[in-house]
Amino acid sequence: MSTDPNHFSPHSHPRESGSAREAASPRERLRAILYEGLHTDVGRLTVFPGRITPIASIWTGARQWVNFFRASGLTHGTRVVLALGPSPAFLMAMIAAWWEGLSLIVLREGEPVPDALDASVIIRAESCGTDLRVIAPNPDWGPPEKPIRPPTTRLGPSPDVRLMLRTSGTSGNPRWIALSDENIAAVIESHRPHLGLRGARVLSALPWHHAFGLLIDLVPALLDAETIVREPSAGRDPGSIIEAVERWEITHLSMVPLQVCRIAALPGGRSVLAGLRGGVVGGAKITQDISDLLTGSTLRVGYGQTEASPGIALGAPGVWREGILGAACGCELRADDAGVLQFRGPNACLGHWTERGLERWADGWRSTGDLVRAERGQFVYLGRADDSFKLANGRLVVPGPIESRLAEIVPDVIDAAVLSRDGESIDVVLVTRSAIARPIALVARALGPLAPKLGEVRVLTQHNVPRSAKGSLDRAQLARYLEDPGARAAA
Amino acid sequence: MSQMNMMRSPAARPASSNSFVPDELFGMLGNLSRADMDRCDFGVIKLDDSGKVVMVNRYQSDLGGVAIPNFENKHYFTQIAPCTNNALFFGSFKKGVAANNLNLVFPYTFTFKMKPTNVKVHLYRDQATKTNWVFCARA
Repeated sequence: MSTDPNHFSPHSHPRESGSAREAASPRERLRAILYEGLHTDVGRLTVFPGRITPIASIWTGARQWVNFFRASGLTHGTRVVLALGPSPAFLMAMIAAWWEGLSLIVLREGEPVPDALDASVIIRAESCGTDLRVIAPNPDWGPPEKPIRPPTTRLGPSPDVRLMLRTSGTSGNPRWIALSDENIAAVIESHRPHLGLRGARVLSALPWHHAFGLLIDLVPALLDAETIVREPSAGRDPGSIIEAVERWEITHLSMVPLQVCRIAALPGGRSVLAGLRGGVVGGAKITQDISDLLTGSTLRVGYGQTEASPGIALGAPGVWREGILGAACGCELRADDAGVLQFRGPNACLGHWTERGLERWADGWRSTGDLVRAERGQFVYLGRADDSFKLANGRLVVPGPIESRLAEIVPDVIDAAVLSRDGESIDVVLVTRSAIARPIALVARALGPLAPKLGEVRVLTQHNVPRSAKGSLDRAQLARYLEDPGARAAA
Repeated sequence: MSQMNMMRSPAARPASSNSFVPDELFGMLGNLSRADMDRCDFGVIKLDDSGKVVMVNRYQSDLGGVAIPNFENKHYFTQIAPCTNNALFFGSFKKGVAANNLNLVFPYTFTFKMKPTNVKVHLYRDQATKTNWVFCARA
């Protein structure tokens, strides 16, 4: 049996270019990263429920997908939707698409493909007789036996776009963000040295169609880890995560804050977190409770956005505080005059995709929309700039700093939301560890000169709070709760 | 990764529950001939305690495209199938040999003739004869 993880083509691999850093073009750099990280170390493994696959077989399978893409006439910039669940086929097709310079669009498994993407090929778990663009992997995760002839697209190829991901839409306006070879290579090269994944056993418990799970967690692990185990519940069941950590002797686990809380709440959960050797926690605000849980651990904060492909900052292992974002990683960071965090550098995305095609964003400083303050070389999150609102008298209210102050001065408060339902008064929701009396005086103190505008103050215990999947407070639902105090906030 | 942990994993269960190897074959391992092995419709590889291939059947040779003379007397985990040179596969083998107790079934993906191929693997040590076996069937 042959298990050599062959390179794809003596004429197409960048070995002659030396290391990834020395390779000339961004595309060659990305290819070099993939080649150097995947074609050796034949004993490394991926573990999916019911299937153990060596990285060597992933690499060989990617070669099959490359051959399929070439036979099907897919060229640089052809848009290919990858709508598979986490599986060896997902990895093989992703690597092959990047190798060939296709524009890969990652969707949740089975999700409908928006027309605006104007895709040539859609890779799903099952093919579809009525849509000739849809193909399915064979039972061994490789491509279909026969090449396809995809239809011509309305917009033509998008050669500069290597990856498209949808933003999580926390601002209420999700977009398709377009990343280049340079973006992907830059975030891998800047984060990989910090993650310490050589020889690691990584549990993948984040979604692969999100930037954090794909580019900060999965891809570096694919390049360096000894074993990558896909968590069977896809990160939804903390009990399953704990079981997987113990069963596979996991050393590294990246999570969103909500997963940390849920793991910590189960028996043995805290010792599982304490026993990890590394991992990144990000995607939502670090509350005081999360900070308390993780201080002294080897986990570190990671911060970024899909628009920054998606890494901007990393913290030091075990260094936590409420709102911590970490220090710049792979790019430059600064706070503008209004205190909004900005970034620039090679990981700033090309632009976003609309039904008219790629809309490039101008080079230079880009706003994250997050209010921050600098503190001992790191940035600390204060709130979203777009959560700001104006009262009827024209007074601007910036909730972030007030919410941070509330968490600091009101005992037992772990999170807070400052809202206005009527534009006249300021409402405050406090999230507490346990039931407390409404601390009106302390809330007024936190509001400072805005105290005369104080309206409702509500206290919710942490288990009754509506949050997003990543753990951020759901402000719209909190506002509805204030309108209807009889309703349960988390209903 | 310990053998015990692998045994507990959903991907690798004790052999009795899901092995593809007929029960009667286990009783014959002490004096299984090449002809007996070649009658099996799955791969059969006999290894010494170091992992060197003592004997391989025609099915396995054809599956991997490696002629029997090139297969035998080579180290299975490093020379024939280096993708098995990991804690889970070779590590379990070494621990099983040391403990004189090896009986694991798990799903695996080999690369045969440049194509990933999903298989089921049964690692087995016959305690009576102290012989080691890798059985391999297409999944």
